[in-house]
Amino acid sequence: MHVGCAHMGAGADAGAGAGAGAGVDLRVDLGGIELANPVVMASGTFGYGFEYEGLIEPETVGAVCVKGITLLPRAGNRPPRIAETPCGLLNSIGLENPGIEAFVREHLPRLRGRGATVIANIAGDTIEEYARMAEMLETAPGIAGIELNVSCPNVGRGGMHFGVDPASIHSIVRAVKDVTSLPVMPKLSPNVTDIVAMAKAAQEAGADAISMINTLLGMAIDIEARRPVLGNVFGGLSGPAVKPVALRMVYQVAKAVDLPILGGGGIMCARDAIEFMMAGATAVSIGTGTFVNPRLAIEVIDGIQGYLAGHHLTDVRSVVGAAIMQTDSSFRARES
Amino acid sequence: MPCLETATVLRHDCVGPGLYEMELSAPQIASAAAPGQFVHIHVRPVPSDRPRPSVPDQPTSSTQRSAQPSRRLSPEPSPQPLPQPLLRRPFSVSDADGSIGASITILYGVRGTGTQLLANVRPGDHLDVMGPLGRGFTLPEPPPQRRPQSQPQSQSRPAPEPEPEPELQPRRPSAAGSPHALLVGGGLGIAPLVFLANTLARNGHRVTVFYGANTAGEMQSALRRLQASGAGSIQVFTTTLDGIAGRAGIVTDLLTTEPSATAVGDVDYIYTCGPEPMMAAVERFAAAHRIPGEMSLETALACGVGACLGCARRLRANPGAGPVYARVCKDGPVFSFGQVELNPAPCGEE
Repeated sequence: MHVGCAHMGAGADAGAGAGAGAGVDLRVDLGGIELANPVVMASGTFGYGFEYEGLIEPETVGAVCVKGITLLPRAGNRPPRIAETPCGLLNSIGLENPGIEAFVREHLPRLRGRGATVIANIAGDTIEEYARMAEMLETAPGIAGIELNVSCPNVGRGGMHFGVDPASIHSIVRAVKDVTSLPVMPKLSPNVTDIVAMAKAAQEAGADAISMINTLLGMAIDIEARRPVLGNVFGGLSGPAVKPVALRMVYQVAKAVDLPILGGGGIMCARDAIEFMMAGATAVSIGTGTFVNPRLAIEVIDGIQGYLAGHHLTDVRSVVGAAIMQTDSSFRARES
Repeated sequence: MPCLETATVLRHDCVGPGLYEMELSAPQIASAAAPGQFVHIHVRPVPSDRPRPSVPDQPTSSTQRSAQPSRRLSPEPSPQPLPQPLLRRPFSVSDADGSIGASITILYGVRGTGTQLLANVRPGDHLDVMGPLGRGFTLPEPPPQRRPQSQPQSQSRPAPEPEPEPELQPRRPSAAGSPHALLVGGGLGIAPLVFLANTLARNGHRVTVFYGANTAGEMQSALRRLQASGAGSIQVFTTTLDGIAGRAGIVTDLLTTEPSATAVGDVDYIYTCGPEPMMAAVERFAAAHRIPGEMSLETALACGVGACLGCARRLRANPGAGPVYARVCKDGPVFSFGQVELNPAPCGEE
């Protein structure tokens, strides 16, 4: 069982995990969202769960964070919307989505029918919109939790404008917690000076978990056309280029905040995922890596299992925060 | 439904300056591919000592998967090569034979890092190929008298995904009996049209191909494969910018200068692929003559399956309505004439 990024995915090992990892408990509790394994599909990279049908199925991963939903349908940003950069990908999709009603009516029942664990990612222009959508999801069967998108860098209003201000994060989390019993997990933006302050604001407002990180604001320029590549000028950077930054931020937040973390940013193999867990993430999110290798999430699940078995560990939670414990004895692994 | 296959490179020929034709053994994809669909290829070869398994036919969860002999855990993590380029690269299927060779062919030009790396791949190497992807060309109904003719594609092909597109309707019955399709390709845009031409000819259609290449060298591989189909009902007219092969000029000149060849009054459908200004000219021609048709678009892609919405192209919407976008990878790459707002200038790729 390889856990490293030898190739685009340790493909040869897919399927070996069940044998190698027999007796390993992969279940984690992400602030009340119970996951069969700690690997989650990141919002915006897995559509509404069935785009990759035939290649990877939504019920085989820990959870699916669906593409960000808004109260009303959105057309999204002007193309070009993506640009590849060294070891990374810039995107400026602009929250194109069919609106929350269409999501609940058309997409959610299918995911529910498959038994997928669904985390709804919602984005509002106003605090009231977040609360309104949370209310609508409260009565929609099949939602395991809500991820608050307070970090989209590609929209004019809302999005990241909320996510760079602790008071706004506090208000949104509070407003949503007031109207729902579902677990609430804000997704934090890395485009801040102090991400710990954002996480603390979320915790004080009653968040059940923290998701991090969203993309890093960036840009690319076409030197022949002498203009920005992206139609929206700026876009969010993802992929392995951002992994060290994401890992550092997860580590910082895990030390400072007593909430489970869904951590990710540039995960390309099981080894990356284990790094995030050792930095303090209870679960990991796979995003851009799926574009490169659609089976990556399954290979990461198998790779984590193999790693645990190879190190004679029986519970995936035993690695959560392992790297922090070595440097700070006051940190306690969070086990439910 | 798309699949992942570890495809073996059977043949990789340089067919012109910076131009390559690659044939890949990919039985599952070859048997499922339809003209106009594409494959998404990871341009770095799969290490030969670690062949990548295909996705199992039946989805299995990681916990349900049957136990296999556990491998020794390698104590040292494998070396990590630079994940560069990160994304796969999309290529139109330029020919597929699911019944005989179980192979697909792609035709491509070196444009950037991805295609440069692909050009270094050798016969015998293995590539990670995902496909077939996207919505292909709408194939008109075969003429009744030819319907019994064998259609090798349809034997092993799974049921096609539901496509909301209306079937192409000929604007009127053809004078000569068999439906007549005009295919207009510019540069590497000929790639999907070769597969389409051969399929249409096999189905009993009359096919005329207008093919504009930049140079004579560029033209050879496509012409060879059009002629090799043996269908006999494909008529090809060519132009090159340098005038060395075919008529000198651009391919859309043929629309007006070859009226006898086009027999425009006799064309039932038009299909086009190439630079967008060229396709816009073909679209205008089709509109003027009230001939239905389709075009295949090219754009940068990330996921290739409609998940990321990165490849959006704006649709021609009703006046006053806001922008509406379609996904080239999933709603396309083939669109009906009049559906998509085309770029006035060639768009940069890669």
